[in-house]
Amino acid sequence: MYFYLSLILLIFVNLKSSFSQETIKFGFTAVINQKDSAVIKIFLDYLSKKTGYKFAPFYLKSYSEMNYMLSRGFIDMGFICGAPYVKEREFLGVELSVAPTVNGKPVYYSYVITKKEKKYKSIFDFHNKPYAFSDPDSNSGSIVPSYVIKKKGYNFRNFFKPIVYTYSHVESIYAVYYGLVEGASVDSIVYHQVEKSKPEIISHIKIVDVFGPYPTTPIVIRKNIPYEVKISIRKTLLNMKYDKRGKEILQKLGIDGFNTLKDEDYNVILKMIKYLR
Amino acid sequence: MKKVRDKITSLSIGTKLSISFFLIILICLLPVSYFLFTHYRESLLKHYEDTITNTIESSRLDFEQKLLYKDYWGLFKFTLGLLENPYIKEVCFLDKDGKVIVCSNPLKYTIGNVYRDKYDKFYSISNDGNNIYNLVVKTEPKILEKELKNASVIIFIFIMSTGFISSTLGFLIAQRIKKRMEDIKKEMNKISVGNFDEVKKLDFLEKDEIYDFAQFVYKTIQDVKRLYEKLKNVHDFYRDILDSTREIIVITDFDGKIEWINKSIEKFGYTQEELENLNLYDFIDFKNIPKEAIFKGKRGNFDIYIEKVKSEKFEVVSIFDLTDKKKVEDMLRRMEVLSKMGEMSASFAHEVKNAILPIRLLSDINNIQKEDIKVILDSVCKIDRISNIFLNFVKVSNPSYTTVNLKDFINKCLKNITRYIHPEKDIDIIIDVEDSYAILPEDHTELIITNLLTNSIEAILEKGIIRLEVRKKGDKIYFKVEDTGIGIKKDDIDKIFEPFYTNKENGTGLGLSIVLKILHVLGGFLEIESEEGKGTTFTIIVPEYKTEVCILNEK
Repeated sequence: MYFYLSLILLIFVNLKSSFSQETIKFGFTAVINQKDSAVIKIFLDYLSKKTGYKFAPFYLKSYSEMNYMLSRGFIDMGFICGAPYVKEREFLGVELSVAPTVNGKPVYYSYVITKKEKKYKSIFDFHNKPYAFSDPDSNSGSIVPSYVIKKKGYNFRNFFKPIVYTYSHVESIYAVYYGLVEGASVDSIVYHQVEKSKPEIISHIKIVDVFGPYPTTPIVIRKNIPYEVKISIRKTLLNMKYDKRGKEILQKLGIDGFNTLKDEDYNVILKMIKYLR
Repeated sequence: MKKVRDKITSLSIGTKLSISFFLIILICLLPVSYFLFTHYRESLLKHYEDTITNTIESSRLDFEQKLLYKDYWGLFKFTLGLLENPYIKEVCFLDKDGKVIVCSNPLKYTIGNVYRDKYDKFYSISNDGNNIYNLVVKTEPKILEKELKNASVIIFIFIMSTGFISSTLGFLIAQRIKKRMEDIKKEMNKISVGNFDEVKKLDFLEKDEIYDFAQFVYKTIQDVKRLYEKLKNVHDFYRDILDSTREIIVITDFDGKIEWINKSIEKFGYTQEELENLNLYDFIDFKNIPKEAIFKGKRGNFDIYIEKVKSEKFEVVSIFDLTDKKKVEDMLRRMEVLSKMGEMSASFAHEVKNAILPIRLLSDINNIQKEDIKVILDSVCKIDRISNIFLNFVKVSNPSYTTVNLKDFINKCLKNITRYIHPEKDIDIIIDVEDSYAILPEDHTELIITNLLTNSIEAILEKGIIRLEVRKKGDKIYFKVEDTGIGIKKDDIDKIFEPFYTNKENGTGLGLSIVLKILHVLGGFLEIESEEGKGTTFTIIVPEYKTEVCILNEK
């Protein structure tokens, strides 16, 4: 009995140690994250320290690129938007790990923003105006505004003239600030992050419309990652808010902590995607 | 212009060196600066334009792709990147219809607006044959001017600072030169006050021409010192001589300002220092007599005699104190009178004694003959004549004027004279007398004429001619007595009128003195011409009426 128990334990330890020798590749897109590699490094170092696994960041330009990298197994996990997750989770071969929480809730909003001096009152006032979307697959920066417009009876494909894709919520804010576009739809979490880091920019910006709440952009992990690794990572992420160092890092990331969500929680996004088809 | 030139030439060596340095720097730097400025301008312009072209060409593929995918944000960021070049003011991507795809200034041109501005640069971007896009660039020439202005300021600051540094350098060098020159001057100044022993040999850090000059000056000073000492000895020697003379010697300028005066001035109560720089003639009152004056001494006036010698630069005034001299002269004059009186008395006694001698000898004879009585009479006459002569000399009686015929008068005079002519002498007497009348003091005139004729007779040793000419001109009678006798020595002419002066064995030496004295009383004149060995001419002018002054004219 003890022999078998010891054997199982040995196999488990060996498995863990053999995996720990490889590096877990963590993908980030510019859509939701500013290119703050220093904060990301601190975050991954924290994870390494807590889990005992090595983590390496992978920076990707768009959700399409993220989808491709996840589906082909070039990366093991990533920060991904709810929209591509619900749309292509089977194809991607991923499962939910955790979702960030803001003000204690794992929800965020889609903000319609413009410059303070502009007289726009709602998203519909931007008809035939240049308007910024972040990523075509972004929930808050593309799906939500398209859904709202279509719901109102407009053709969302030619409602704005033109739609300017910035592939980053932050850069959408900048596009409004510079005046390249009259308005933009952006992630509320990113908006508030920028509000803290670049108050001189946000001071020229106002929020015209708010849509939501929507489940926050989750961290997904490839299904074929060993269960104990996935558990270790999830556990570490969920406990970050209770740890002093973890709390500091969360603050830098602009979130309270992480929580677990179910796939069904993202149906609200799936519903909108289906409506737009 | 002259004023400016004078002002420049009179500037200190420091200022002149500073200005020269500054001007040289300016002259050298200005064309260099102009060349640099022009070259910099062209280079800057080329750099900006090359940068635009290179940036666009190197990014051509990137923005062609962005245009293809309508990546407005990517294109916008590209335009913002181009704006990093300060020469670019505005960049816009346009479609074939001139509508803005993206503009670096979206507030001016939003997407889809028609671009209407003028642009400076145009790049055609052929995409796929159907969609033709253009890139237009507006440049900012002001930035070029701004950059050039900065360059101008830098060049100006460079020139000014270089100028300033060089001027300061020039000034410092000049100051150093000035300081060293002043040191040399200071040493040289010691000479002017005669402190030769205090002159130091200067040693400078810089062994240059000024150092050589200082050494030369020191050597020269040493030479001058030796000369000065010699000169001082000479000066002291002459000063002592001048101080030791009784006369006062004054060196003045031509206005009479006293430059130097010898120690003899102390006899007038002044010190040498007291009178230096004062005007000599403030102390002198001139008399009517030439060269005689009164010096106003500190404790009274002094009779002085002045002699002046002019040189090119000053006057040497010699002042003789006549006070003592006058005293001596008065005393001598009195002594002379006494002496003359003694002489006269002796002469008178001698003459009388000679005249009495035959009488005394005959007084011893008991039997006096007729011839003896004649001898006694002659002796008495002689005594009478001698008495008259002495009386005439001592006191000339008041003249009594009578009308006389000149011919008769001369004949009378000749009658008295001829008996004195020695029988061995061959003398022709030529008479040329105007036959006219004149009012004359007969006795006095006779005494004059007989005296002169007697002198002429005595002057002819063996043979000769005496010519007597008498003319009346106006109220004056001219008597000219001319002989061919032995004449008078030039040196003796002044003496012949002195009483008792005679070259004759039996003469009294009173004849011509009496003539002069009578003429003085009559107010007449006398002229004398004489040449030794050839003869003498006396011309007597006797006025018909008395005048006051008798003047002796010597030719």
